[in-house]
Amino acid sequence: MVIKKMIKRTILEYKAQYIGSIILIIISCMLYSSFNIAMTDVQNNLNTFRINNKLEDASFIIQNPITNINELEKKYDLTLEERKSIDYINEDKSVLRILSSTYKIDKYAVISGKPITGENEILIDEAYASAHSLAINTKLNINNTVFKIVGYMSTPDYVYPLKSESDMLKNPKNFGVAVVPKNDIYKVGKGLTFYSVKFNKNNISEFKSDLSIDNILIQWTNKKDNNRISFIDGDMKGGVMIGKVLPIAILILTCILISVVLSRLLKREYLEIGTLYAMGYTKGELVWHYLKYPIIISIIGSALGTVIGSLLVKPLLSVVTGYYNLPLLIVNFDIKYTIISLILPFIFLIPVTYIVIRKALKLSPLQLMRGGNNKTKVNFIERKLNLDRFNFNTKFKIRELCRSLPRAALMILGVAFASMLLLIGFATKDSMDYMVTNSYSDIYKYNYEYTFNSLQVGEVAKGEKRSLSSFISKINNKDEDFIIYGVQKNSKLISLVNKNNDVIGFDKVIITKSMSDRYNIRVGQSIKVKNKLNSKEFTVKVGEIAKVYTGNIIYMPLSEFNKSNGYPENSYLQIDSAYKLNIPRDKLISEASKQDIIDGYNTMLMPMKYMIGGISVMAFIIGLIVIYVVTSLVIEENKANISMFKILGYEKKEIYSLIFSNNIILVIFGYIISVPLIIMSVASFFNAMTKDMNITIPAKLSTSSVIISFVIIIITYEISKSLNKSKVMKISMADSLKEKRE
Amino acid sequence: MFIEIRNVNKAYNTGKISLDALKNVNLTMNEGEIGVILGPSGSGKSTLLNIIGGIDHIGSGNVIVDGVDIANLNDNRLTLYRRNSVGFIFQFYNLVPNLTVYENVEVAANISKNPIDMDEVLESVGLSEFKNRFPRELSGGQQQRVSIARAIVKKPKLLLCDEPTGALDYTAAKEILKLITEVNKKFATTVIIITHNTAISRIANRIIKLRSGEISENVVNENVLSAERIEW
Repeated sequence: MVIKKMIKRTILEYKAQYIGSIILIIISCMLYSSFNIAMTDVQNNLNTFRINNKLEDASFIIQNPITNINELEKKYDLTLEERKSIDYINEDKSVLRILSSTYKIDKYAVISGKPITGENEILIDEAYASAHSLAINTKLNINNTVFKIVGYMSTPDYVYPLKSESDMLKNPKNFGVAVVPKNDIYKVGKGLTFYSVKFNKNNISEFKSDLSIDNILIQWTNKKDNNRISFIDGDMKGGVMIGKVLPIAILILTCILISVVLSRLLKREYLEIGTLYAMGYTKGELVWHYLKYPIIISIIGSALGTVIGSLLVKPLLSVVTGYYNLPLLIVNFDIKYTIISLILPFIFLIPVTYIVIRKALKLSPLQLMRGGNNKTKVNFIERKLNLDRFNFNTKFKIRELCRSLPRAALMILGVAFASMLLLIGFATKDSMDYMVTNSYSDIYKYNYEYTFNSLQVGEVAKGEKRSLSSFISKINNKDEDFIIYGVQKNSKLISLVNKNNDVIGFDKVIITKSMSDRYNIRVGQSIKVKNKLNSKEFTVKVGEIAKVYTGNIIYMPLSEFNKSNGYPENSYLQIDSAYKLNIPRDKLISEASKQDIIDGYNTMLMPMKYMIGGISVMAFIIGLIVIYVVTSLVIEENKANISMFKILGYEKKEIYSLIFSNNIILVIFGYIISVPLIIMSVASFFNAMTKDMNITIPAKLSTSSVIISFVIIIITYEISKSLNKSKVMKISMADSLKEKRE
Repeated sequence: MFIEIRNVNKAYNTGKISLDALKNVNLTMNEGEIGVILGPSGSGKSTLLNIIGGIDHIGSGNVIVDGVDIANLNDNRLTLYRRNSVGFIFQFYNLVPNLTVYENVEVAANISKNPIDMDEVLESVGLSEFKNRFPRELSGGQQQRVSIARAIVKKPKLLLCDEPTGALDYTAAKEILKLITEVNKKFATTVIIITHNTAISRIANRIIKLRSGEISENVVNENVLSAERIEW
């Protein structure tokens, strides 16, 4: 059909609108293909790594060594391996955790270099090596024994190398892991003995009871409570959500955009359509003609987006596998996601645009040639408005706002979406900031936390005693995990406040606000709990709810904690101190410094800043496209008015004010609704991420972030306005004279 | 002389082709006169109107309106000229469809230093009772009345009418012409009407005929008729 020549000419004439739509589809397909392919690969790699290298089900520390491993393995049909670890403190005060190599559970995988084959060979994690400039073949002197670094490795239980399994932030400058041959570990020290276990049957309780018969379990950590293992699962969920939700949201936005642009195109071409109709063109031929617009846009957008997305898979995989210490065993380009990415825009755009086109073509040739039925239809809102009290400028702006509801909806939705995207980064950072500030400044006043490898009894000269254990409770017919802290009644190093910011004393049972919210537990309610170490059961009655959002924690007086758990009176497992204490290392499981955690957070902020920057750029582009297209539609619809304003003697700035300034209301409105929406979205995103983890990340958004984002959105609006100003100036006064309208 | 056009030339360049729209046009009009410009399509009458209205530029010559050569004005001064001195009436009314009658008139009053009272203007064009209606709810004649109200609300010295009756039936057209002549008398506004309809020229003090961009006839009409008395 000769009319196909019109398509190219129309697209070139209104190129900004079509290029904007294509860019949105590119972003959507790029995100869809890159995230889904990469996340599937990461998940496959993770699964393969966990299966091949025998990820533990739990690890534990027990008072006395187990001497009947083989007997227990047979009795309970499980795999049990004794392991050793030594925390070697480097000259720069960083800790390198030396692990003995295993052969049954949590076996290492070499990421680069070669496996350990002889004595005095060591494999270390790549992030620590990189942070300390430790290349392969470098010699490493550990407690007077020289080791040769033969490669970089990962173990399934240290995919996220955290010093303590309850830590949240890794910091390769301060902490790393290494593996040496089993016998070599004794060359560097006595070390901590712990055990990793993998069950084949659901007999975990029986096994634990057996262990507790004539021994004392000091610590038991299931793999899902071990942040070193489980953090990646939360992030994977996040990545999968981004890969699914974001592209669809962008496509919905693109659908609205294309529908509005196409319906404007159709209205503009009513005369031509009517003429073609009158000449004998069929409805089908005309529908097909106009469907070519979304088809062309979809083909270009999806092809480019999918190609760019595919090119981004490897860098994205490198980032994820680099951030997590994960070997990259398989890189598969899942063709399923490539195909979906290619057809997704068609699935969304074609039906919507088909409806728009069919609706327009319902008019008769005569109606079309007369400009359609609705050319100057006044909608119900406009009709109901009583604007007598306003001056003309305000009246015009209000009428302009109400004139095209789809256009207004597009502007609000587009700005809200771009603002939400912009705020994602800020909300993530603010939430993390809050979590760190809330935990490490407001609540935990100590600077050092020492955890012993066996129960200690008696008084301490310096610091405060504390104990902890993992518990399980049936809440809403579901087994839920949490931690109970036994805290000294007169504790000065842990400070909890209630909702009125009044300090709470440790003479009662206190639960965190996040736990209260998550399980709907109120003051006065009783919770039946079961100690995961020794299966001891008892009931606690909630006396107060503390403003703590960072975990599901119960605080109770230490004396009651010991009594309820059957632990010796005056016993404890931890010492909190404002100052560094001189405690022999062989007595400790871990020594944590608040500064290390804060440093870790600051280290993590850097990639987060890049993430925020990247997302902000994307938000800026989307915002710019939407605002630009809507503004250009406003100009197009007001072409005759602008021309007439010029004839009547309106000055440039008066015309700009009449045509552009009402959009700012939509922009502000779009932004305002985005703020609660993003807080809700980020909260549900964090909930989904941390669903199976023993932490809660509260969704926060600071005033400064809201202001900065607002300024960015306004700048975006101003830029798109400036870009459109030349269009207004190009409108000739003669247009008004030629225009035939009511 | 209120309007004095001297040796005006205007050509449109479209690519390689240059089209002369006006060739050495000379014209004068006194203040308060009604002038009708007649001519077939493409004769240059709209171009001449646009030039006098300050919405198009000339190639050479002078266009003096009320003592000011508007051909020498820059865009900003031309804007002020149109704002303060000129009212336009278009063949297809060019009302803003989503503004009420009252608001459409306000479009012009809004930028006028000393506009006529809005209600008075609407009363004078007979639209007081329709002031809250939207243009599509009015007949063609009523819409053109709104257009006239919009043009006169700012008390222009010069009223330029581009085929003001071109889209109207006989009765409505006569009513509009009557209204224009009333405006001319009441406010002593100089009026220029361009039209195909030679009958309309009988209401004018001056009749100018254009052909191929040149003035073929410029006569003073000694026998001016009222709008009610003309027929076509």
